[in-house]
Amino acid sequence: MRLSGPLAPVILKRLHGRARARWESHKLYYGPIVQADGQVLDQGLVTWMKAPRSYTGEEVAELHLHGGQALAQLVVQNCLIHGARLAEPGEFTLRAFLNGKLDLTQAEAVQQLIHSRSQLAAQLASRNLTGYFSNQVDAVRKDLLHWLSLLEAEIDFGDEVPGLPLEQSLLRWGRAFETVDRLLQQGQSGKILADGLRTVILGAPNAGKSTLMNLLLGRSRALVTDIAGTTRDTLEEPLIVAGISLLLVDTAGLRRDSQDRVEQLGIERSRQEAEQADLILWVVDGSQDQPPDAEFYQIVFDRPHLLLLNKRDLGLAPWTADDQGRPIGLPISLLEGTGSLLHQVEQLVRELVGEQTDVMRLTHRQWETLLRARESLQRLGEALEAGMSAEFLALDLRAAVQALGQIQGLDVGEEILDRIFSTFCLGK
Amino acid sequence: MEIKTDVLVVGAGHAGCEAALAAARMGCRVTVLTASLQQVARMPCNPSIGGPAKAHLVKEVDALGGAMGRAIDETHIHIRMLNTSKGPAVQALRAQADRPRYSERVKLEVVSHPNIQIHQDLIQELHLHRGEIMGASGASGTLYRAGATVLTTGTFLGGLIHMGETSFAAGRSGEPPALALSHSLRACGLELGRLKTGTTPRLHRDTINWQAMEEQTPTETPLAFSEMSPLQLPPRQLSCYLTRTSLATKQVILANLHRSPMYIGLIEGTGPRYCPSIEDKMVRFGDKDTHQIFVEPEGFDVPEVYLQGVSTSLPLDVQWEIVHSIPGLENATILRPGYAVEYDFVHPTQLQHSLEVTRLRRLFLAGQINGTSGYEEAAAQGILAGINAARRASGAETIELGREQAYLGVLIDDLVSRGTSEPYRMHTSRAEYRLLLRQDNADERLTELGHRWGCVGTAQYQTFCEKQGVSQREYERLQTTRLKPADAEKASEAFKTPVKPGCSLYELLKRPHIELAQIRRFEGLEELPQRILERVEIRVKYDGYMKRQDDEVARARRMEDRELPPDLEYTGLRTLSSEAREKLSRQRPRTLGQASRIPGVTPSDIATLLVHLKQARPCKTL
Repeated sequence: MRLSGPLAPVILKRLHGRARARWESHKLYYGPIVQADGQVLDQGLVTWMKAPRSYTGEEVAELHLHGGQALAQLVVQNCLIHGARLAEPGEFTLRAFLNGKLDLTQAEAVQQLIHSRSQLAAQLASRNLTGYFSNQVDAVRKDLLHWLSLLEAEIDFGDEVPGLPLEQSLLRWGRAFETVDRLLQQGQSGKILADGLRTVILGAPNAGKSTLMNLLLGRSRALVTDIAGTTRDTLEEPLIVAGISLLLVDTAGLRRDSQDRVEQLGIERSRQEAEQADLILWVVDGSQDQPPDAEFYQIVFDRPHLLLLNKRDLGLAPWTADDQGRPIGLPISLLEGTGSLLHQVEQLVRELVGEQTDVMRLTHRQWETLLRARESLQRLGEALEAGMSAEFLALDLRAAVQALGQIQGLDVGEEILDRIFSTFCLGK
Repeated sequence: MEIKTDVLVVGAGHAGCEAALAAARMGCRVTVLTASLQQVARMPCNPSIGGPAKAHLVKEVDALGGAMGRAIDETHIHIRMLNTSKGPAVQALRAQADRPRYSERVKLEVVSHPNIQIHQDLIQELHLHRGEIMGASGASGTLYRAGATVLTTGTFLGGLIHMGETSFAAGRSGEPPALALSHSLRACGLELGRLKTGTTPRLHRDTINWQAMEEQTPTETPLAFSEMSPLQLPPRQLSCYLTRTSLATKQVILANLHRSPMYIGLIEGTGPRYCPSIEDKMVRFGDKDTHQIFVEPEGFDVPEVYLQGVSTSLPLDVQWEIVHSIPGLENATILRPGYAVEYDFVHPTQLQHSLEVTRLRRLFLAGQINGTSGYEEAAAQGILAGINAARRASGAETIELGREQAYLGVLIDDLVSRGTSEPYRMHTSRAEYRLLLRQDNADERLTELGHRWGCVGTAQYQTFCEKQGVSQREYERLQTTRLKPADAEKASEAFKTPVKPGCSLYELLKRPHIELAQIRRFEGLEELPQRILERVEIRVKYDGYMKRQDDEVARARRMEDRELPPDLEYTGLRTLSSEAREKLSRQRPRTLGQASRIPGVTPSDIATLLVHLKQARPCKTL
């Protein structure tokens, strides 16, 4: 239990039932925890941390009690009586940030740490706390900043400063782009390791989606019938593949011409699921005469996916093979079990995770800002190739530098703060 | 004796003249004081106007009705466009002035304006009454009462000239300094600093071996700064010349460093990093054996020639040796030696964005007194100070310009928010919205505003509206005109690029190397004026980039628009760093955006301010 603020030591002294001539900072004191009327609530350790040598940078008091909700509530109530108020979510971290104890990425890492659902996720978050990610971002940013200064010199002092040769610019560009791209890849891996892969099973009605779900789970979870449109709502079940946790999502079958209001809603949900998927298992009935409408399934092609040509046992139609006669997806028969299918899914998952040695956990904000930096670098590359002059290059370069600075909290725009602190105590 | 006036302008250099003219155009009675009536709008340093970022400022002065652009167009001896291999945002005009004719031209405009009285007098003391400056008294014993006062003292404020081992009090070569005014400013509570600038030796043109140098020819197409100047080639122009220092130059300078006032500690002011003296160059860039020198004529009938790049305060005998060590100048005669001048300036963080002194209402400062260097920087500040002095004198609210509106806005925000420790010179890299602040669109950015403020006359405003109208119609025509199959085929041939039927002229013009004039010739249409062609072409070709900058401006606006309460108790915000607390209390930025640009104010401090401003559910102890 933690108290922060100028009143913290005062309240602590009132709760600690033993009179002491002097209190020392950062020392543990044993004694009774008492109520205002002198009644003893518990025996426990308490400590006082003098500002600014504390987590929040303010006066901090901590109480170590025997567990139990009722007891904890009782002590909290007593704190409130003495003038404390309940902390807002993340408020200690907010105060630490405002008092300069943590930088932006560290503050975010603390949040992640608190919200981590698994051991691995917690490990990854604590890595950010040491500044692993900020150091890498900082290196790229400094590199780009140096380049920007060369460009600016070329623009303003063209008479005296020669422009950078194109090969050198391309070299610098390549270095930065690769790093940012790698960071994004590592972040992607980290996200998968920590949160798992949202794996959505998608396809037309009666293609065999629910059968696939049951087979993968090894038990009958989804209702399976011959009637198209049996699954009306989405079903979610966890599954471990290649050491990675997957969240399998079975969806209602997609079709264009449904008249049923309930089925329409189900289809709408399926589409939403597909948009959020990390991985799509697209099940099609390979024995049908017509291939699925590619335009209707565009959403699949925008994401990592595996095309499963089901009902091999009924004989696959000609469209399931390309010009050279090779199948365009993985021919399976769900009646025969999952053999090669599991293997393929495993492989795909491994690819998505990538190298596991150097992964990172990014917040949504960091991820988005890093993406923006990559976009700017992408445009910069195009401008370089088009032979644009220095002031145009400088525009994209500056945007990339700015984005990287925002990740580090060096460049604080209102929107950034808005987003970060919407999860802290100021959220509206 | 007592003189009553609306606006009092002290100084008649580039800042003073623009300030006086702007206030006069707005209908104010203006009194101008100058130390010497013979020395109005002089160019004591290089005889040129323009260059990257500086040309942009001249264009902005012109867009607000100022004199600088028109005057240089009428009196230059050489003009050309720099950076032609780059895009429209960093191309810049540069002209060599006929030095005496330029000054005469501006002086005539000032003296002949019915609203302006000009007197020769030196200000001794400002009159402070309850936090307002009510006027000033001169060395002549005259008392000047004014609704607003503009100080443009240049290098005269506590001026001290250095030449080798000798130094003497002076504003410029051969003119008296303003010593008493510095004391008066300090007595009013202002904090002053000291800066240094220098100039180069002038040579006799008949003693130079021009053949030994590389010739730089002027433009062969008509160019002009002012929207009001006709675009036509002058009947006659002169060339400039390029040479380089030799190894001997380096040896002479390094052997005589102990005689440079800069290096033996006689000069305490900070010099400009971007325009270093020749001795500075030799020391700081020791690995470079040679430096570029531009040899520039100062007029058709002027014997002096300017030596750009050889600013120095070394003793005269060393200056002779330096000059003679440069190819082409082996037998040249020095007509006037180079020198360094030290002068007082007011730390500009004590100003508002209107250029009014925060603690002294009715007092405005412009030019070198604010720590800037350059004629163009001075003129631009002068025009804004003049506009605001006129508004203050007539009881209107003062105005300011944003960083996305003008280089002038960037310049003033830099000075007011960040201050300066060296003579501030404008560069395009100081402007984050460089692609929007081009010399070709200065009128689009400012003339409408200037007309509303009253400093742009009817004739100029009409010219502007006409240009806008024609450009807009042409732009729309390009968007709506699509090529028919037969025309597309012809166009493919004419422009040597595949053109599909139905392609709009707009899309065609977007392609590289295709010009609007070509398209109009292809269509068999009459020629449009050059300025219109330029406007439409840039708008079409670069609209993607412009749009992105517009988006950036919109994003930044959210910080700029967030106002900080004028009575905010910074000392009560314990979570601010102590440096931020002190600077914010002293400078009192008006918006969060301005606060974020003050050096020493960190992102954490800004976060604290934001949190404080929101106070949605305040954490009370914060």
